[in-house]
Amino acid sequence: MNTWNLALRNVFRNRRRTAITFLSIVSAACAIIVFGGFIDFSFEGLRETTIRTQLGHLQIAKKGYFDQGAGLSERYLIADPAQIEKDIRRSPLVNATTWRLTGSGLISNGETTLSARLIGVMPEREEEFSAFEIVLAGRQLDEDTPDGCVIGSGLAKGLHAEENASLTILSTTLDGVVNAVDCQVVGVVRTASKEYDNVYVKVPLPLLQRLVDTDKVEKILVLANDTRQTPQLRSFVEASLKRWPQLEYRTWLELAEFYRGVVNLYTGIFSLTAIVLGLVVFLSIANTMGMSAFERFREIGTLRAIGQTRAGIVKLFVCEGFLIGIIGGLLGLLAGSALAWAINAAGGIEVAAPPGMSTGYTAFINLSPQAFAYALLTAIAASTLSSFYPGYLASRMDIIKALHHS
Amino acid sequence: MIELQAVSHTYRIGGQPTLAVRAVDFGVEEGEIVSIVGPSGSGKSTLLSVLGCLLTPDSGVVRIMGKDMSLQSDAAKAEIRRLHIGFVFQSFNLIPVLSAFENVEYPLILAGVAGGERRRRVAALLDRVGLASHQAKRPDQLSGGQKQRVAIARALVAHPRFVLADEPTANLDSHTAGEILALMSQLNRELGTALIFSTHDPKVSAFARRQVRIEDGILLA
Repeated sequence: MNTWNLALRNVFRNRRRTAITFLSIVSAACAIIVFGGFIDFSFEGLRETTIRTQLGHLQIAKKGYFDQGAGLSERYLIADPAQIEKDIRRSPLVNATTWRLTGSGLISNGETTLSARLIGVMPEREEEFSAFEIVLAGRQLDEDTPDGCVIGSGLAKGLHAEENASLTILSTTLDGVVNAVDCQVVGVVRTASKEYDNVYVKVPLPLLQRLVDTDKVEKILVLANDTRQTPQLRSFVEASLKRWPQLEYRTWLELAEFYRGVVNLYTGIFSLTAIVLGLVVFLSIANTMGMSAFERFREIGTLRAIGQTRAGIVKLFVCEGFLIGIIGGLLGLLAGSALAWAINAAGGIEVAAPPGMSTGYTAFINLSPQAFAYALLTAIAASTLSSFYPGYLASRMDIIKALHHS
Repeated sequence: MIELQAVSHTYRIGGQPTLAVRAVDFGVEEGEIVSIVGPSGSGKSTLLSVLGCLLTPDSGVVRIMGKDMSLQSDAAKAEIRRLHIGFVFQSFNLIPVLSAFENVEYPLILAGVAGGERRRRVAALLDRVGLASHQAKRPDQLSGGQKQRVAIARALVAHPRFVLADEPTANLDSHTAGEILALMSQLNRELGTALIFSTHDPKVSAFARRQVRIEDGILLA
């Protein structure tokens, strides 16, 4: 029989009120778990899309490349990517590597000319790096179409270009001479971003090298087996690049500004939600503990009379608050998991296309450990903190008045 | 010893000052049985509250075991109550969520007595007050007399020097009241604990070896 034991019995003394209190905690925990799981799912989708359509898990380029502004400069191109790649591919962490050369220019069907963002890729290795592109017509690039191109759906619409259409790409060589190449549309794709779809032109690397008159590449993209292996991959690449002092690397997270912005925004919204829900729990428990203190005036007076200190009374209330928080929080985790499971089993939640994105998506609720931790900690913290003041008031109660309270 | 010197205390009831005890000089030695007799509202409970260190009087000196209570912190007073004073209340004031055994055990937990010793003392005292077979029952499963026996056991379990009882038999029938007084008297002889109780009933008061009367807050004898 110690303070915890007495606190536990006090928690379940008025079962109806305790049930209502738990209900408020469980509701808050469910909301945090489902919202947190939804955000986690969305982050995961955006992260993998960003990695597998644009960035890879890690990029290697000439020193200074990542800090340069817009434009392609010969100074920042890699002359011997095969040698470096051979070193990198030794690691079992590496799933795939590819080379990229990018540029900008104009693309024309003879009647209409639009601006284009040019991506030179290695078709034979593209499968892993285009996993999140949706082919709307035709197919992806392959080795049999050295003059093929894949264009974004917005661009295809603007150029009235369908599969097999012949287009001309205009740009300047690295020396500043105007140059042009012809390409044949082999596919129309949709990427995650609507803006990107309006300018996206993917061509075989040799075709773009011919256009800008170089045999070098801009960067080497490295894809790990799993995004969670990025830290190990980073360590390995860092060690490998000691032999290539003219090169440097960046991880996807360092390059993914849009992803970081989205994560910061939604994490902020999530934190605010958790705080608001915590406040609701705080007020609910404060009300419960206040009523409990009022009903137990005489009992508190008795405890004080038989020698309990003021600190002991505060401790009793705080222990009750903590127990309500932890029991309610754990019940909330169970209820939240069940709700997440039910939503997922029902086929998820249809989400409209976010701003800047080309399509909506079906969201599922991830059982996110972070959301679980938030839910439990919010319940415990709000409940424990809210019991301090009623405990303080109870401890300051006049013993005589408390003993004669009816 | 508990000693009061020129103790006065005033309550404000409905904004009006009401003098509860006036210039009271009073002392209780260890091992005594003292009854404080007086009509309702005469100041009996206030006097017991001052003696039990539950109430700090407006004026006068209260010394318990030689310590001036006006110089003690709240925590120090709590310790004095915990170690040296037991209370028995008219309405029993048991903790409803605890069993009879746990109610009696609670003061020993506060006093930091080890588990084995605690259980031994509680079991012995419950046996002594005739409730060994009821130790697992909660207060709402006990009769009024049984509750007061539990309250007496709780008051005595920490071996205090003084037990203060405010109208301990007021809520009991006459037969049970007689049993409770006999038990308290017997425990006083066995344990040497001083017993100070208030009552308005002259028959109950007769159990005490020393009787004092209080009227309108003034101690008469």
